[in-house]
Amino acid sequence: MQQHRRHHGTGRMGRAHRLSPEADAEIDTVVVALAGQPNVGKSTIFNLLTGLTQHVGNWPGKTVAQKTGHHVHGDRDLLFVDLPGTYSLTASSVEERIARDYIITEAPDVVVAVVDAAIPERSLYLLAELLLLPAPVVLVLNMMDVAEQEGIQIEPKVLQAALGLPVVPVVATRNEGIQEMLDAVVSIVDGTEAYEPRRPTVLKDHQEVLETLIALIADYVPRPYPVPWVALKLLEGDEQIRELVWERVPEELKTQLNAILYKHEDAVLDVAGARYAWIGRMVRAAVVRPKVGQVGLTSRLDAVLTHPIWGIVALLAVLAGVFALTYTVADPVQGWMEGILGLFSARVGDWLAARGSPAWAQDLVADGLIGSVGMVVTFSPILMIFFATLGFLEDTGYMARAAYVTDRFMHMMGLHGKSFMPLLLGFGCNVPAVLGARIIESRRARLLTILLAPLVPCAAQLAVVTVLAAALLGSSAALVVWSLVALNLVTLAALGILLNRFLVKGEPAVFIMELPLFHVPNPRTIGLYVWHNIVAFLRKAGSVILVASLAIWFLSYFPGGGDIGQSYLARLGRAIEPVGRLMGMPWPVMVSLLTSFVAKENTIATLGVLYGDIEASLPAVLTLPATLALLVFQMLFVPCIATVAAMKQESGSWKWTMVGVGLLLALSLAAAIGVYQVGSLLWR
Amino acid sequence: MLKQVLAVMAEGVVRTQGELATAVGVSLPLMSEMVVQLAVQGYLEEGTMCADTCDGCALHVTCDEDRSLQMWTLTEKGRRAVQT
Repeated sequence: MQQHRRHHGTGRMGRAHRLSPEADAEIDTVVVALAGQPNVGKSTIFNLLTGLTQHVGNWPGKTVAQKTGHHVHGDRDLLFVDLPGTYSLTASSVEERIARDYIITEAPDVVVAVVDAAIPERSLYLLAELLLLPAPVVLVLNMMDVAEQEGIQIEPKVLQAALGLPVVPVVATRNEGIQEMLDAVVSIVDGTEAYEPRRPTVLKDHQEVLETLIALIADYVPRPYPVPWVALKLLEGDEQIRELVWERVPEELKTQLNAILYKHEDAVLDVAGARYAWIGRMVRAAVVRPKVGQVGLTSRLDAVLTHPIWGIVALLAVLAGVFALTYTVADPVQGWMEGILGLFSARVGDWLAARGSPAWAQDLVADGLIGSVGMVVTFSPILMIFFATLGFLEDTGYMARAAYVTDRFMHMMGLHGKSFMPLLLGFGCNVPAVLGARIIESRRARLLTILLAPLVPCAAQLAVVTVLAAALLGSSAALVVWSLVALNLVTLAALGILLNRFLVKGEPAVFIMELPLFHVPNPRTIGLYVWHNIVAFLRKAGSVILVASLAIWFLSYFPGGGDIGQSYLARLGRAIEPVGRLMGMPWPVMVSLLTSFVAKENTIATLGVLYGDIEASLPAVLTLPATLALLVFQMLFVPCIATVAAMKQESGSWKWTMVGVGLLLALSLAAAIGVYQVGSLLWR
Repeated sequence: MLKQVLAVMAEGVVRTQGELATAVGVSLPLMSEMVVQLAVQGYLEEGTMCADTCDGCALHVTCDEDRSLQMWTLTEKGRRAVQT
């Protein structure tokens, strides 16, 4: 193999690159730099060509691997240098600095730019930057087979004519087009093929300032850095190039340059924008993409699921489906578990009585523990189905569409998609929903989201109303729960509009979103989603709910020794009974609602302690209007204490926390009283 | 072209990258590249369903960035660029 001797071609930028016969005679080894983004097949090409001749080391002064290797093509020895994978040639990463410094200071004979033919737009920005450096470029369209599979047609000849440089279609994995690529490299070095690239140009708006910069810095730019390129990079705000220039220019010139660059701070938008316009022209000339309709399942589904009307209809249908599935599958299982729990509670009571345990101990275990915490645990099948369907929708990519179609309502509230994320989390638990508001930059939008998040019915609230509705309303339960969720969301929107207009004013955020492709859901992902949620729920049942249930049992047992009418709880209940009467609710039901402030599930746990079998006892004390009032109150009532604490923490204000709690208390009372009073008139 | 992207976004009418691409008259892959570029330059800010602040959330482990909604919000710098 010939010794590596090479010429350093400088100053070639901006004119046709043809080497003289003298230069030809001097070339023994042709240095070829391979450039491209990560995952475009650059390494495949490098390995294919260099095989066992590869040498692996580090780039000088860096910990980034440098790979070089030889390949003999005809009578030429080609030294390939594998540049680090980069998306552009800014100074934003060490890889990008290595790539551009190498091309400028080492001036390879040819740069081979490897592009993913299936997504040419992604790689052409790098090409736009490479064309500004002092080395001729050969463009390789790799993965032509993948592009073909995707229905993308690329015309290499047309692209070659548009770009003014050699373009070679390649399938590196099948060794197709590699010889043609090597021929193109050699023909560029030999000057047998014209190299007249059409580079992206700077917009007129900044042409003048660019020329001013060139004139000002020309004497201070070290060789071999091209002065126009350095001036352009200064205009783009490139920190490395700024340091390079600042080390050399006098102080008064720095002041002048600073003033110019400050005035043209956003010039990068025009410089980079001109490159994208150039890419757009190239792609329009040489790439034909499949038309809409041929695109695939995602586009077809999105035509319906993101439609302004059908999208909403689909969302409502999906929600209805979730509840219908929950009732048809989970409710019977929950019923069986409840039956087993009743039997278990009775057996344990009998067992304790047979061993002479005091009455209070029997009551504590049978009603205080099994009747409350056990009752809450029987919710798990309902939550399992709920989270499984939610996980399924999330994993298919549907939830992003739900965000999209609900965004127009968010807009009416002065909120945008970023608020949807925490609000969506609220369906699981209101605490992360309030905490999630941290991702919103605007204090106004953040505050609005914090105030509205508790109106999103959390899983515990849904479970409570699901159980109560099943116990009290029978076959109408699914429709009623669906309507309750709709009521909450409509209330959320209405309150949001009012707050936005009168209380929390400001400018809404502007955003766009990216809808993920639809996927076949992964059972393991859904399983994990269900598992983590159920475990979190059971942990809560074993801690907060257990303690609250024991406290409720204590207050309901003493000092009357089991006579609930003489208990502390009864005294509290009678104090709030006048309010309960407006909603048709006896004091034990009111107390159960109050205990939901500790944790929403406590409503059921408390009713379990006070009434025993709620399915048998509650219909006797609640009329239909009172039942509906109870469900409405439960859905709109103030959030649990953990959510209130999160509201205080995130808003940083007791005032706004109290405003939020007060609003919900007033809303829940007004709505429940209204439902009961109107219902009583209708069903008299 | 990037200024045009920011200007269309600032109108607050388009909601997805696809709609933005149609409004500006480029392909979706090219728009995706421009959006990333604008985010790198600080004119847009990227956010996903699960932010860093969600680390303490019990549901955090179930977040999958590939399936979650990704969004880009116009930053203050972006607003200023549109106004000038």
